[in-house]
Amino acid sequence: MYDEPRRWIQALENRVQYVEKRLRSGSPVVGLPYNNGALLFTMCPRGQQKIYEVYDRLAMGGLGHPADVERLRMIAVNLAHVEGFARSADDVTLQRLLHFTIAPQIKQAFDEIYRSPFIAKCLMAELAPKAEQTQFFTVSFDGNFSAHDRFGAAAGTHDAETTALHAMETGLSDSPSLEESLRCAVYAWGASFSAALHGADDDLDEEPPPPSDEAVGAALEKAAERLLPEAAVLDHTLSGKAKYRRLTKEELRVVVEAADELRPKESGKDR
Amino acid sequence: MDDTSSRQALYGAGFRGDFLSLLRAQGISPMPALNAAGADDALQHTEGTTVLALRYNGGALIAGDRRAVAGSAIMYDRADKVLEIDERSVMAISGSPAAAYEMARVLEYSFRYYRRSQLQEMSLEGKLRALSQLMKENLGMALQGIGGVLPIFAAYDDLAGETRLYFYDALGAQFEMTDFAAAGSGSVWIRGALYYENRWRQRIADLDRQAAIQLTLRMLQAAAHFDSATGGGTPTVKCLTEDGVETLSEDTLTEIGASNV
Repeated sequence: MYDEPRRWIQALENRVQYVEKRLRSGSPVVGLPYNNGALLFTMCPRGQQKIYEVYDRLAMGGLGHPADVERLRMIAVNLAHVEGFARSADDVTLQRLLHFTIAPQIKQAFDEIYRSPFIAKCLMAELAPKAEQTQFFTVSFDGNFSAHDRFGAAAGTHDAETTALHAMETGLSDSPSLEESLRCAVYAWGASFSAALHGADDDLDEEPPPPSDEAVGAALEKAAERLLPEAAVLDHTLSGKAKYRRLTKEELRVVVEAADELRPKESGKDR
Repeated sequence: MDDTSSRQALYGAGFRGDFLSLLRAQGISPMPALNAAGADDALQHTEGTTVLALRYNGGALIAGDRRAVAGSAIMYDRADKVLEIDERSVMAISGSPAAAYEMARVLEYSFRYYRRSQLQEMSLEGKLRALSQLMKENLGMALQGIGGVLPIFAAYDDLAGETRLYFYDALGAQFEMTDFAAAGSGSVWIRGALYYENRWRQRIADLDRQAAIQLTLRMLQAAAHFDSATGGGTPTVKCLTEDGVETLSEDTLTEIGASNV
């Protein structure tokens, strides 16, 4: 039934709509620099994990179907370790992993309409030997990926990603501390989540208007009902080869404070 | 293995965190056992060393000399025989460097791969089994007399909150040592001295860090005095505690060595 080109294209379009719909309300993942490396931040249901260590200097965060995020994660972890063992840790770069294996795999699963696609997007971070060279890659469900030098975001819609990037570009100083970056990450996450929930369909030609502080606060308040903050860093000051570290509850307290400050005043009075 | 099945193996999640299975699925076999017929009696392999580990009050010290020899020839005086496997474990190697370094590398990857794929640390018991398994895989090389490895494995036991030392025999059996462990050609000269120190002078477990480093350096010097295969540059000394692994700097060792050894 899909042997005619027209029908195949139609099937792919259906597939895009289906996956986009499933991803839309997903919790965004944002990535940004801080003075010791790179930070990944998201909000996650209790008992789950969305940010992972991939390799010595690689980390990722994903949204979408947990099983698909897990498949992506295992591809990346397996590849990185086999490559690192066979050659060296320095040969394990996101550019190589994505270009030559991960992206083609996702694309293939997406194109073969009798197979299930990856209902997932992910943000991958790579800590270069020098902190300013940190790179983020956003990988989409169709195998497309894009690189960003300073900030990265993966979210349910294109507009939500643009909104997060915009919020980080305008909200972060040149050499921020971890706390500053975390505060900025919370805001960018809230802005992105708000854009995903309330935005119209993606218009790739037009920049979405940034949401108001009230809208960001409302999105954060809504999220706090069922989600907990989760963050990890790639910290080049860690002594061992592995530079990944999950932030502790104590360190994440600033997230709750930042979200509280943004909470709409009316609902604050009610409490 | 054809391309499709190797890909399936790579992307399947069925390895349960086992790095060796993952490597094999990719057609990579670390430490391939040599065919017995291929062994060459005239082959001069580099070995001969002294490594030791002891548990002092607050952690464990793992140390080794720097010399690598082939027969009576000194091949290298900057060899590193004390290897950090992960933040919780250190391995000191004696025997064939080729097999030993490969073992250390496989272990390092195995522990990290397990942590990253299974989202939890491998247990101490699991780590000991992993090394034991590698020793068994290396049996063919050991029996031929060219690839034998006798490691000392030191680890911090998070559950018990203390460091532990293990000595392995060539077949992969592991023995926990309570106070100290020594291996290599120079170890025969110092095992008695360590026993004497521990039994009749002062228990090694009661020594503070400084005294433990001093004792370690003295032992390595004693071994180097009697064993021609032990020596080389400033020894490698690593300190394993609750906080992780610390490599003592050459300056620190020279300072302690100059005044007390």
